[in-house]
Amino acid sequence: MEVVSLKAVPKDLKLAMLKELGYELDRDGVHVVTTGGGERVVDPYSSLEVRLDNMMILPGSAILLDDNELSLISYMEDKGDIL
Amino acid sequence: VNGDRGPIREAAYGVTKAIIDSLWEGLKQIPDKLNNRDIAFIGDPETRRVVKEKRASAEWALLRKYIEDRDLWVIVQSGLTLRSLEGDPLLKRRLEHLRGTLHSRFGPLGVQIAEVVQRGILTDLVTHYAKEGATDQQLRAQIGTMLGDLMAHVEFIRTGDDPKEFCRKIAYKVSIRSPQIVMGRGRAVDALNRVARKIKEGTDCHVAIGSQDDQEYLFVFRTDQWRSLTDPGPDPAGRPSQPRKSR
Repeated sequence: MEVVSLKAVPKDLKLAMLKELGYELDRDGVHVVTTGGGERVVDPYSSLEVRLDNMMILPGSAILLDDNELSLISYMEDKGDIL
Repeated sequence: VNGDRGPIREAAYGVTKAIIDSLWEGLKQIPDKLNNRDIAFIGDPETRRVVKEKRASAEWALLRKYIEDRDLWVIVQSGLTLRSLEGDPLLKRRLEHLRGTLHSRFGPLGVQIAEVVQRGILTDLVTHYAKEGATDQQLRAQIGTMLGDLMAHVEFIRTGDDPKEFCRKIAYKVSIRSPQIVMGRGRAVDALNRVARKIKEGTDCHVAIGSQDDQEYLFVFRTDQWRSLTDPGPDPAGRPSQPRKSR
């Protein structure tokens, strides 16, 4: 598996990737929302709204999470040590 | 090594122009790559490094043996991670963010359990029980019950607390819920040591002392519970078991 840190990925590329996955940036320019519907994406493990500058996109069915240890631990408990 | 997917390409951390170019070129394939677990986009590489390090640690392997609840697995690993983040001013924001996410998902009890793990107290307690011969089954039951009702098992001593009164309070609490953990920090450590002496002299409780940095803590066990945990059970040859003597 290829693991890429989004910290060094340019904003325009992150936005293009999100578009491919059915997401876009909210009008506030900070949070990620579902394309069209405008629902903010919420990290299921931390209940935090996912922000473009602090997100992870993890395998499965493209799971968007807030970049924090608790969410990553929870993801690994669900999916195994795949990262 | 990453399961059956082959080695992870750590070099991707230093995201190069070539990697950026290949992501632009392969934009349309990204959903499939994610579905097939061929690619992952993490945030700060440090988040992943710390989490993986803790999940691979001997301490987590020990604690996991005795914890059956999946939420507790997450809380305990978070506690181990908090320990890694503390002390470094550069990591303070991440430490506070982790405490905040623990609180929003698991409430104050989740944060308290993580702190008991962060301070090394849970590991010390498990090691203490294991050394005295408690079985895995007994330890699982004891740790599960205690973590589920942690605050009923924990007392914080302050500098001005009267040792005699505090000793009486602990003796009462331990008669209901054993063990009791008494924590003291900084100047309150003197008061804690006085309480430890009083409990040893004035009760038949089993007492053990641990410490980390400027914090000390006591484990106080009710004697009958301590004996039942450390009793090796009936001898296979039919001789009656001998309860161990509390220290």
